[in-house]
Amino acid sequence: VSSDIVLYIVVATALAFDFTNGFHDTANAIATSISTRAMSPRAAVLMSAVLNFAGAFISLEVAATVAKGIIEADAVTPTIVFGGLIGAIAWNLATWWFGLPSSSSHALIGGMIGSAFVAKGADVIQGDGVVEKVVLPALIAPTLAFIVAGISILVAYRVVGRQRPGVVNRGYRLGQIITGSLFSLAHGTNDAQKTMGIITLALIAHGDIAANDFHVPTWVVVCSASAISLGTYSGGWRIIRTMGSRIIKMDPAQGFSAQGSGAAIVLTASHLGFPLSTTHVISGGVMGAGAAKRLSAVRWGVAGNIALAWLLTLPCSAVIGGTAYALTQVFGDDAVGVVLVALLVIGLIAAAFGSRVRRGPAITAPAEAT
Amino acid sequence: MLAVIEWDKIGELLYVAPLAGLAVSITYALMIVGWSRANEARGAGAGGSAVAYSLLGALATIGFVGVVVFGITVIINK
Repeated sequence: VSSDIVLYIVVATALAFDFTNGFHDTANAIATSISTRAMSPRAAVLMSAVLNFAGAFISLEVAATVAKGIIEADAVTPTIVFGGLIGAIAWNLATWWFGLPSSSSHALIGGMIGSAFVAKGADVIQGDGVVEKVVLPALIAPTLAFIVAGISILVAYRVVGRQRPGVVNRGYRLGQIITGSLFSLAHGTNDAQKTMGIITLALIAHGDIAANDFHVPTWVVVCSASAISLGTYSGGWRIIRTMGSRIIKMDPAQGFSAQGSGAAIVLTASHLGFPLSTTHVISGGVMGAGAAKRLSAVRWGVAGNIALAWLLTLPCSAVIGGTAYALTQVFGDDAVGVVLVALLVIGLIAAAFGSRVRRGPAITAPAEAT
Repeated sequence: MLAVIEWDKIGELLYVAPLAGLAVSITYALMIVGWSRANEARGAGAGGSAVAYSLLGALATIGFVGVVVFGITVIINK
């Protein structure tokens, strides 16, 4: 009975993480489209939610690779997964509160590392995997996107410079809808599967699925797809506001350059087997598209805050994940600790964020002049 | 530790991703120019220019659609 309760709580926590992942990363796909008025805020989140839902059904390959190469697979228990999820959820909510885009995947990895470290020690953490899957991508993604989006916008201005602004803006707004759709589909395919993988790992650890027969049950796919699309539809307006109008004041060509080159980078990287964070790519792209036009067009203070959040993602989510795991162990190995920590977290979230999950969509207002 | 990192993949990414990003940007910009100039040329009664710009627009559209289809293929085959 005790292990059943832990399993139920892990499944519910994984779906809660999936929801936060959805509303935290909505901005990646649609912030630039909303900012340039390519789409209305409500239409944009609806489109993104539908494509996230659809994307979750496209492939299940990523689900089998959650935490692979970062933590020794044999060391993972449902309680470690629970601690990791708490670390990731807490970091997602904290960065959302401050309107800072940061990688949900890196938060999940950080939470799992912290939880596993407290449970089993440093030996189960694979340092080379952390460097390859977290540190290097975090350096490469924003830098590459910054440069490519910068060159793209200069090329775009050069090519369309003599056309009537109305025609050009209409054209780029249409293009943003296409690239935003690609981003949403890719996000649903990639990120919903992480939750599917987490739940499936818990089911394997619980003995519901044989370890040598890794498959994702249909109910897990449907629940994960629903959670991420509901999260996306609820809209993480604070982050959308930051990404869409607080970093730079964007015109449709800049929005398209950031999003188009970003989508190309994310999908090329995925094709080469070196997945990059969509958050890092689109943030770098927005800064690059602004800086190429005029360096002072970028609000570097906001950019600095975002970079600081990226730097802190892994250690902070690891500390929270480790603390959550340690708290569950205070009450022994059975389900009591997990239940109490889950109730504590629910109480904290309800107190701190309950009334603020949905803020008004006043995000198309022009950014402050810089 | 650094020996196990797949540097060849990273190296490939550093030149393929910019090419893909620029391909998106250039094809889309040419698409806008092609179709908008073709429209203007048709309005001005310049049949030859209209055909030439329509051709440019069509080729750029094919290129852009090709990039989008490639993107969807990557997502599906992930």
